[in-house]
Amino acid sequence: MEPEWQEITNWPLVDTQGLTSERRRGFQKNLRIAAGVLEGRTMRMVAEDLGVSPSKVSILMNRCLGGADDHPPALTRGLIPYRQIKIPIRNSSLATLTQPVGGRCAFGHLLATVPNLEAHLTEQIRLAVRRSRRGQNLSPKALHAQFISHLESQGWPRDAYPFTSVSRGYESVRRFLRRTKTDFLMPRESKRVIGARKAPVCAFQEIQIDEALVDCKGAAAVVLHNRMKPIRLGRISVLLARDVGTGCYLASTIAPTVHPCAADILALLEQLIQPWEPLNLTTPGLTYVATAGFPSALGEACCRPAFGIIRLDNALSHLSHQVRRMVCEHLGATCNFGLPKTPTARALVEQAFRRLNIDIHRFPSTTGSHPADTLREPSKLQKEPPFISLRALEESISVLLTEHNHRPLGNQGGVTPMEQIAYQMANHLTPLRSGFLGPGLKPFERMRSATVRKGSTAGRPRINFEGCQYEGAALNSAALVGQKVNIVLDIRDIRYLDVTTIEGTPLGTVKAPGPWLRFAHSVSLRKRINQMVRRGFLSRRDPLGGYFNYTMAHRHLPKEALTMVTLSGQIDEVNKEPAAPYGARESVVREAPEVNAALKRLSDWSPHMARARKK
Amino acid sequence: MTASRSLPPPNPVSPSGVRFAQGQLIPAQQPTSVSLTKSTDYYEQRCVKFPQRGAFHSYAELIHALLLEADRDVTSFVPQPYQLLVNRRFYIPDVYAVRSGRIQILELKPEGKFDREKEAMLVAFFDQYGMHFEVVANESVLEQEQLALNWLPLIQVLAQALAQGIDTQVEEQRLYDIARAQDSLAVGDLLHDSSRQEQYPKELALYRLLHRHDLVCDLTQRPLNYDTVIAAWN
Repeated sequence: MEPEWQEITNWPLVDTQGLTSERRRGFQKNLRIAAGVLEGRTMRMVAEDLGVSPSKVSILMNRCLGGADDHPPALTRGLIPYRQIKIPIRNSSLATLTQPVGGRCAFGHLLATVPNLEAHLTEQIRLAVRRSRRGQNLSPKALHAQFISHLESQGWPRDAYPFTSVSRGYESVRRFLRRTKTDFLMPRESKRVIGARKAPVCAFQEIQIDEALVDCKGAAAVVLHNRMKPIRLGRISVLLARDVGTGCYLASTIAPTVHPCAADILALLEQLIQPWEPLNLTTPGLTYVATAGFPSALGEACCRPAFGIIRLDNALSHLSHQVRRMVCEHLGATCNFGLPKTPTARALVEQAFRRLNIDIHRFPSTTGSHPADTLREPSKLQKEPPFISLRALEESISVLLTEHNHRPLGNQGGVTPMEQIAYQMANHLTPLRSGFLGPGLKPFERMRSATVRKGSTAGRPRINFEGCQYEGAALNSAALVGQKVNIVLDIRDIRYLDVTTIEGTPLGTVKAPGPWLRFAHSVSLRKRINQMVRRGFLSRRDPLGGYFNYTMAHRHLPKEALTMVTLSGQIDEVNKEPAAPYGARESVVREAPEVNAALKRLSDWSPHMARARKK
Repeated sequence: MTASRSLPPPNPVSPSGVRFAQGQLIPAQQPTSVSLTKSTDYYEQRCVKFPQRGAFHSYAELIHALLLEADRDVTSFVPQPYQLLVNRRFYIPDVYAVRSGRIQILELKPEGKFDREKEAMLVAFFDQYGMHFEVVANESVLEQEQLALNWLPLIQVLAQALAQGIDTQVEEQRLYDIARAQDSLAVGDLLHDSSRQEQYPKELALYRLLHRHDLVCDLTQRPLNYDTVIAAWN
């Protein structure tokens, strides 16, 4: 007996209000008996005092404190009159045709004595509940048939229970089915531990990153033949990083695609460590809150905290080695790719997307949350480009996300996420990591090996990379011909490659052929263009220009229109820099200063011009 | 004429059906396939006692690695150290750890449940190389989760500084001398005389002293903060 059970006050409390008055009286009397015995008085004395027999006292104490070794004693429950304490079992033999006896606990006796009977019936029910291919939709009748069949296969005597009863144990089987089925359907807590069991409270301790499609379509204006024409664009994706401890949005980027790639994730990770700069808002009526922004705008310390665990889902773009290298080596953090189909493991960032879409759904060109959403843009409006431009959509997202950081949160005690982060950075020892990213490749750089080649005819040494021959003064050495070298490329712009020897001695830079130098393009874009060239959609002479023309011709497709706008942005970036033009320009007019000037010199089309041409 | 096929000669040192798949005794982290990365709760992190990116296939493995980092008796460890063939099936143990000069091969399992027969074979196999195979229950590891999580940012900063080769010997000596001169003092007293950005070398030196256990503090309940009391190890 446990020492604490020596005191009746340590026994568990039983609420006697639910008992009948007669049973309550019996309970109180039993309680006095137990208290008397536990005080150290003899059973005989207690029995005499309370007017019961000594055997009654002995039986009561056995009922309260006795039982099997592997079961806890009944204690106070044993004091309630007529309460069943032990699990009922059958002690006598089962009924036969010649010796008919009662059927109490007979089914339980069968389960305990017939080999594999209980396991067989339980397995049948388990298969039915799990909707297994090998199971069946069980009814009490079907399970009873299984029960009888199993008994017969085990050679159970035909003159013993259940064959002696009229129902052959049907009611017991039905109750067994209902009880076991209920038990299988009970929610069970998974033993597998995923993520921290305690919610983080410190800033930058855990960061969740994910991307989502923006539930809205935008438009862009294309100047074609000196006329501005709006076109409908495909949906864009927003990538977001959110701190779990403070609920603060740390960084966000926009990817003009449905499927963001590793470069987009890297851009987001880079935003974490770069001071935030507000967009130059051009949309009327849209302004940042005075102090709006992401934490990286708070100071240098907020750009270089030790990011704890960065949680991502296991999309292929997240599993990229460059993303892992950026997280683990450049940011010095721990990266985690969660289990598949468990978005709730990153509930906070998913909640952020849902919150963002509440405001995005106010635009008439919204796609809604699902195909049956009543807010979805009606089909009659889908024939025309929406009013909201891509730029306005991007600015709206930026304002909405930064505004959240300055909204007091209930779970932060009415403090805004930015205030929480500023307080923690000022008053707690949040470890800082090194200020520079370290030696080796930069986040967007990738290294490959290639062979320097030179044909038998006169020609310069070259490197073949992604369907192009790169040349440059760095390769103009006879000793390098036929040798392996390492090339370092920036995945966002592969016009130029840095070449080093296998030992790591830098040799210089090589450049792509002229047609590929017109504007920056990524590895994935080069691959797509090369594929289209191989299929004969584009000319080999000017693949980049041809690709732009291709997207221009297919601008009625929102996806291609979005690609065209993205390309236009890259071309505009190049146009800002003094770069030598190559070959003939395409006929599309963009918002570049020199192109606009040329357009102004052209006279507008008029009916008179057409008539003059006919003559 | 039928083609003759000769069976590979049996490994003389492993009659039990266990052998190294790559025939090497030096532990080296085995690569994790993409499919395994996607099907597990996968963690990757740079460590100090394993100065590479370690691959951990569960949260318990990550916590265990952080506890190894915090353990003064452990000098180094290697996650996923060997690829073995156990009864012709591939098997990779979770951790190789050197604790007080004793080599341990550890397998982390929920409730410590592991195939008894396989465990006996692995114990016998590693025993002939002077290593000790043990099965560790995830639950026993997760009991010290808070301690491990409090060490996590320190390990991250230290691992990055180690990779970048940042030297703080002078700062370490200065901080150690200050700490030795007193019985105990708060972290804030050591780092009070400079701004946050300027005190990075000093913080790094402090973390290195704590990691080497030249300075000691209690991180079982709360993370390192300005009011954490530290003392020199005697």
